[in-house]
Amino acid sequence: MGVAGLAGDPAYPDEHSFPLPPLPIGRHGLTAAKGMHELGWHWWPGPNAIASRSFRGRPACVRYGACESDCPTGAKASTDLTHWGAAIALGAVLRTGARVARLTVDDDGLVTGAEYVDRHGVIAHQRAAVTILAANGIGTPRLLLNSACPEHPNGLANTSGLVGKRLMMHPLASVYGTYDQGLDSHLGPSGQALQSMQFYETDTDRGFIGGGKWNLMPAAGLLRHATWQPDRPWRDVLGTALAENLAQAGRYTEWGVTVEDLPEDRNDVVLDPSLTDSDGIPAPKIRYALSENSKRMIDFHVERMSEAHLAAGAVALDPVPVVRESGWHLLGTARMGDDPGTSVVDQFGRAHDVPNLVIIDGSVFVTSTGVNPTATIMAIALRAVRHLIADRSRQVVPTEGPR
Amino acid sequence: MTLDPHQRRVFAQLADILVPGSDTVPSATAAGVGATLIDQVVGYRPDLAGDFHAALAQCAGRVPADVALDDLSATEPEQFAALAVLTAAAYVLSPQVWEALGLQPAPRVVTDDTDDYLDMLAAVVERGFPNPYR
Repeated sequence: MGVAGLAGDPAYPDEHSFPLPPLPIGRHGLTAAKGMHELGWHWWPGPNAIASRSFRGRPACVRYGACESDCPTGAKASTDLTHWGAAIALGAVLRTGARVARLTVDDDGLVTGAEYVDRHGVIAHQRAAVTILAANGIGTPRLLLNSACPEHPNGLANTSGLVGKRLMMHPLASVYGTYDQGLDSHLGPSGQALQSMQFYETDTDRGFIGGGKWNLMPAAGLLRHATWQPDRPWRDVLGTALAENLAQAGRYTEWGVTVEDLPEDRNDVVLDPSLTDSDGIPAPKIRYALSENSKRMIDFHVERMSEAHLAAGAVALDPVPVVRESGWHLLGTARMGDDPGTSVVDQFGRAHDVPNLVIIDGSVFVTSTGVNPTATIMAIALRAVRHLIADRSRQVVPTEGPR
Repeated sequence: MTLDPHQRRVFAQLADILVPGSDTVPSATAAGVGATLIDQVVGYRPDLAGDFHAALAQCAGRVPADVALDDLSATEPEQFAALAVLTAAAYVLSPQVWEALGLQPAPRVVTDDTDDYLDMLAAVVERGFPNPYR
């Protein structure tokens, strides 16, 4: 992936290194670091999967700051750039736009492949000896539940009843600070300039369990200071207010926290009883509410992040206790474990009920952690596939076609 | 889907109400929004073109135009949102706006700034981290 970072963070395991040197923390990062230094709180330059110099065909970042939508130069690592080209060159076939309707099984309850609808509306079947599923914490339970059959009446791999249960989404809380000096925060990269684990570990004196990692983001882009939202009078953003709003560009930066929400049965993914997608495939329905623990955690972190901004010299604060558009870390809905009665997959992602089905996405997380999950998901996927290869002589595979 | 001359006149009037300019920044018209930039951003967001054109049609001939915008934001928020975001996006593409704000846009070469903070970072290392799993 080509992660840029600085080794030595005492909050991380002793042995770690990065293939690329760190990206600049910039003036906004330096300002925030001075605030953390003043408070004596942990901070470190944030690692980012963004090239700080040319790396494996990707150019170095030139700071457009569009990282959260799409990198215009390809400096940000994404699997279309880092993996798919190589996989296709080795013979992988990528079918874009296809939607899997269900996984098919044989009389022994083994997966025989996937039935899908292509973008021409044609229903097709891909036969497979082993099926690897990576559809995220919503898509994976949706597909398993949509694959119910006589051998698996409650959904595929769902003897435990935990498919779709315990959805965790990392509610995101932010505090934006405005400063009276230019921070160049209109520039990218829009990754984390700094991170802090100061309040990551549980301290029950705070009134909640768990914690969260902080990320300092640059709040890049002028348009964010000029975008009207329907819940506000337009004259608050545009009109004569626009000049003042735009003057914040480059002086505005965000501390955000990835809140460790807990695995709770009431937060789940089920099949909607009536809604389907445009191919007629039953749609997922998400039932999720913030727990009291998460609410307390958010309140605590918003107060601490406000203090961090003020220590750094912020002249105004804009707290956003729950970023409504967040919830993009989709975890926990096919949990991992040794006991088939209390988990969906084993330690290598293999479904307890279906030995030729392997799940390698964030749905296998048992807890959400309080950090960005992609590196852990990748590590789990790599471990699962290595085991699959090493154990291939014992792999059970179907002998007949799909029913 | 570029604007015809009538639509462009309507748009210019509305854009200068949404972005009137100030002592520090130019108005929408002065920034070149109505000339070519609006066509450029509509090209980036063709999904908003329908609501954008509908907004112009709703406001055409309405006097005063700012009241027409108030009505549009209240009764047709999707149309108003398309008009507002495309106008703002065109505006912040204008080199005159960047110059007025004193900002240097990308592309900018990334530089190594570790020397600026290593002394502070040494204090973080010295404090260590109470890792309960180590």
